[in-house]
Amino acid sequence: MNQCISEMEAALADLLQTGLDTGAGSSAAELARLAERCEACGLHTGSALLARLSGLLEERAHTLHKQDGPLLELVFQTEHYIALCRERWQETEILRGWQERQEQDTEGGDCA
Amino acid sequence: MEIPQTLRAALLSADEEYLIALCNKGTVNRAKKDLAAVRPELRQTEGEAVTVSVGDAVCTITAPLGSSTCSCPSSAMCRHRMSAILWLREQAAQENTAPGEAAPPEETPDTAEELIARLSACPPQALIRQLGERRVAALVQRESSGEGAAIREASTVTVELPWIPAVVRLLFPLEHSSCSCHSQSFCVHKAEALLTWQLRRGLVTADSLLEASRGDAGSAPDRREICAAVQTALGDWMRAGLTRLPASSQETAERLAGLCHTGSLPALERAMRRLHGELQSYFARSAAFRAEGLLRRLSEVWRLASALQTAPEQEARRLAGAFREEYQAVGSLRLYLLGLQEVELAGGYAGTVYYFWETQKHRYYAYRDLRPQFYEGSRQSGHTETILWELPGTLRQLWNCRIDLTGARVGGEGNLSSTAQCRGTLVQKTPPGSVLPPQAVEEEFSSLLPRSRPGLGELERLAILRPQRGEQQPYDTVEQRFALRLLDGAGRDVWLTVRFREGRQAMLEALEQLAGQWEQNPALRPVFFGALYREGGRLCLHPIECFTDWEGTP
Ligand SMILES: [Zn+2]
Ligand SMILES: [Zn+2]
Repeated sequence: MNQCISEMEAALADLLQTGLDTGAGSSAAELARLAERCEACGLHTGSALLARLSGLLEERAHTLHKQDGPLLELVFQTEHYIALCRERWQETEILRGWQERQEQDTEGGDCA
Repeated sequence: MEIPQTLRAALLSADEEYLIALCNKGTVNRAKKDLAAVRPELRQTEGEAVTVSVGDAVCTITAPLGSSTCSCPSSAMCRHRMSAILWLREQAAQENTAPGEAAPPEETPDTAEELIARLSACPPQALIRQLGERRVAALVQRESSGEGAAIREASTVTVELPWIPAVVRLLFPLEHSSCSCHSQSFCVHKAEALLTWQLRRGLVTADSLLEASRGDAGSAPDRREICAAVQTALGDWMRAGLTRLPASSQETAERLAGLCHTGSLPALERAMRRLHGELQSYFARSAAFRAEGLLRRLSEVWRLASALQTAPEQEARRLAGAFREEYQAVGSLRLYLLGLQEVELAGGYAGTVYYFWETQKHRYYAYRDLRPQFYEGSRQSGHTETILWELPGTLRQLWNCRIDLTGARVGGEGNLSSTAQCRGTLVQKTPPGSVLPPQAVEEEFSSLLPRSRPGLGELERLAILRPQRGEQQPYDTVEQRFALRLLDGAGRDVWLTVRFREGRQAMLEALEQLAGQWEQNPALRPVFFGALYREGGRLCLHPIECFTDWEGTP
């Protein structure tokens, strides 16, 4: 799952790197593929965000008068979602570490 | 080939200068190169427009040329459209000369004249309002000292603003003018260019500009206008992308932060300044720069601007936040100086931060004694600490003392003001254990997790830990890092880490000594005061102070 989040983050960073005016076309396909991977990882919201993003980018490529407001809103919403996922992942990792430690301690106690 | 009349006229009157002004020199040159390799194909003529395919792209060329469209992702004038225009212009010129009639007009004077008329007709008031008082004053100052913009007039008016740096190309129709900042709207540079041109032409006087800009101080742009301006800039940058991002974006970010300041939007101003810092680190080619980090800053600014735009009045005021330097009177405070640390901030500020516990409100306050670093050759040497609130000594001397304040003032994030209206009384030096209630000392770490959230401010992340035991880790020589793993009774861990750097040796030595003592004497039960944070899958503590005798005399 963390791998998936990192890939999402990298895909958005790529979009920022190349810019909507040049990179948008190639990113659309890449984001659609990533949306499927997210779905498989159980990141449903992430998958939906990416699918919409991919759709808007694809649409943008065929629109003569670009209205980028909704697209930008979605890009930054997705970024926010990634940040929240990362935060939740960190929390789970910390709790998991604590859990493991407790189990080790009780096992150790039993042996003694 | 049949080219519609108005388009033909537009093509024939568009010289090189004009085409460059529609986009930039690079795009025009690129289009010429493309044209040598791939010939465009005429698709159809409909009304006043001609549809031409250029490679994979399909362009619809129309008059004025800036209104032409293309099927490629670019929202600005692209090389496809430019190729199509150049090619159509060739065709039009050939047709014109073929019948052997009059030679084609070298440059139709109409466009240049139209342009001058349009530029002259722009009301200076609107430009002054967009620029603001300070920028107008700077413009007048530069003009009078002869260091103003370089202006060149031909079929277009080119204005260079080297101090930004930006190049503005004004053309007719005005809305198709371009700026090297890539803005597709009428950016502040275009406004500055146009006003400078009007001043040079004598259409306005320096005095009238200064007077009008002063008179305009009252009508600062409102919240929604500022948020829209911020989002417009972010849109321009996202369209251009990092690789084509103009250096002027730094200046734009700074200007927008200033606009947020005058528009009483402190939270947006701070977000904008963080974004500005990130842009600076990009242009300075800093090794620490990451596109992900810039994206996070952009997102932060965008979402706050969106929320501020749509929120009802009361909610918007809450979102707008408070200025750090805006202090509120809070009456009397009963403080205990728990610890202090030397800090160095990214913006070139350094100094000492003092952390207090308030015994009635049960919360932390801080006093930040920060100053620009260039005042001191080396930190601590010769830096005289001021005496605050008429106390009998410097704060550093009052460590672990109780201090009562009357007439205290506090900033939005819990920072105390050094205001002269506040008076302090030294109560006594006393061990922390007798002042801080047991519930403020965490012996059980599970409650610390929500308090380590990345979005929280420093004072909200402060915590006092009393671990059951500690495990000192081998010193990390690569990262130059000292680490001590603190464990509570149930084996939950918090990592205390200190990275070695100038000014932290004393802290490192104290910690190493403490870790040694603790190993010898497991009943020592030291207490650690610091700020929580997360790193990877670990909960960490940045130590500010440690106590081996919490209850006794320190
Ligand atoms: Zn194009
Ligand atoms: Zn500009």
